[in-house]
Amino acid sequence: MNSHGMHETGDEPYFYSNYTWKELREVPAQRRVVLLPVGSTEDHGHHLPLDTDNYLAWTVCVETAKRAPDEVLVMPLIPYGYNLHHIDFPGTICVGAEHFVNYVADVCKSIAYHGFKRILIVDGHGSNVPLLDMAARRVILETDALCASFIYTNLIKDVCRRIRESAHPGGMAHACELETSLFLYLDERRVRKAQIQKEVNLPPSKYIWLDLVDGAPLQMMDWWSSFSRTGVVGDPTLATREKGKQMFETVVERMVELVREFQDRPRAPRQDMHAEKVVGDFGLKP
Amino acid sequence: MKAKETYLYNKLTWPEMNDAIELEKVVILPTGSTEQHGRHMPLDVDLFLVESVCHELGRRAPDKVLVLPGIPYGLNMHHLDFPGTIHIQPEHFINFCVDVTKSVAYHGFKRIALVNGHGSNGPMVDLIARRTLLETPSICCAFGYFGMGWVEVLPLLESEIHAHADEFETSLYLHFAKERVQMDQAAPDNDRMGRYMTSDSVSSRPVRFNDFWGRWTKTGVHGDPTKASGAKGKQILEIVMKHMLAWLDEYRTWPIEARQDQHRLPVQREIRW
Repeated sequence: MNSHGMHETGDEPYFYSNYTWKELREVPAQRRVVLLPVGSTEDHGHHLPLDTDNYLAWTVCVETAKRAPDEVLVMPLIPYGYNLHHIDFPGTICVGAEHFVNYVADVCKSIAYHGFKRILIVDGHGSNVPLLDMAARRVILETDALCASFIYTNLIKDVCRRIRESAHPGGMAHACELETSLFLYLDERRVRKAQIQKEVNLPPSKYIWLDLVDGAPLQMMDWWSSFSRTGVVGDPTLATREKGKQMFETVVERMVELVREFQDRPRAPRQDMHAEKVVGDFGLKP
Repeated sequence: MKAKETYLYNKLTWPEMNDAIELEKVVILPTGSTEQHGRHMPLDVDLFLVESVCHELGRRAPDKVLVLPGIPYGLNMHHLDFPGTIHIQPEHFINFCVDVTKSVAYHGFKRIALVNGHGSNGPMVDLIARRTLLETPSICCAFGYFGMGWVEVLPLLESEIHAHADEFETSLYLHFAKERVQMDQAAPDNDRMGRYMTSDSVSSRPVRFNDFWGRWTKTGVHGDPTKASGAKGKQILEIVMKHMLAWLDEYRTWPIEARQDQHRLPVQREIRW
């Protein structure tokens, strides 16, 4: 088993890396959706390890795969993301925006090269969102595949709104009720329970706050250490295994649904609407 | 203390990471690839082997190292004719990895090493280590784990060519996870050999040359995996470990001295490289 928990037995049909090249040759015809998990290595309070984003994104993908073993293909996870704003917390690894997008786009372009037509980038780290959006758009414009990205929490906003006890909005952002509940459900012994502390310390505002489920009208990301001493923004003391179970089971259920819809999504060809033949693209880049 | 017993970088919390920095642990970044490895082994060979080797080092010296999550994708365009291979452009790979090592240096770790599991990453991990050293106060080095104790490994091997999905890699894989190797599919293969160069740059020829693999092989193998065995893999691992542990002690005590400026007149420090 490697650091992302890969290879639970070794013959699962849904792990991309389990195949030999000769076996993989047959896979594009099976119309699987390729899942590329992307996380980060980043502080998550005193109570959760640095691998929180990686672990949650990875586990969501693997569980989806177990329930739809013939419909998805899980790529090795990209374990580093965009988070210079967290650098004051020891251990955080920051990849620059452009470097990150280029790396992710190269991975997806290679996947498309081999003939896979549907790629979903599954994100576990909020600050990756705009960059993975760019990467996915580039893949569509630079290959013949369809590529989309999303952070898994987007799939359970309604569930979170219903079961959350944290202040709304602005009380559920990082190492919070949501992430801690998931972690408690999935791997309780790795949560340092005695270290769980609440911290919500941003200046009160009608327009600016941080929340994984209901984002603010204005996007602003100050240095994390200017408003958090523990690394937490939220109230992990409200986290429970039971909430984690509800969140996780719903994410996975909806991911299976999403995968099926995405695979079957009809796609019409591009059409050139010019009256005259275009001369060339003059090196236009997305 | 958690930081003393844990060798996986990612399993610590940030307050525990402060302890790891104080312990002056060596931070190791494994670099792999997702690439075809013949008809007998899966695409994960490079990442799986380099992480397994680094984790074994961690288990044997948990108080001395922290192993980062491995880089799963590397330089591979020359293998692209084989289904599944993932390619990262060289400058994208270098930029991505330098950001990782610089972040590690930022936190105060003074000794960083890249341990490489994919031959074609070699020139790049060298540059990544050099840039990290020149652009931060930390020192950083790079090596392929397969080079550690090579002189002692060589007599264990029966085949003559050692390159890719060969006796060496297959033996190690058999040792770590034999159920995932399809030995009935293993077959030897060789590249086009001239007097000065070969299609896949074996070390016996002076000229570096890396042709598209789709031009000279139908198996994706370079070497003879049929000679591989798990027993050889175990012996190889022990040799690699012996040398990596010795290297680790050397690196931990390697002096980081102050640079000395030998100019007579002041240098132009405002130049931005």
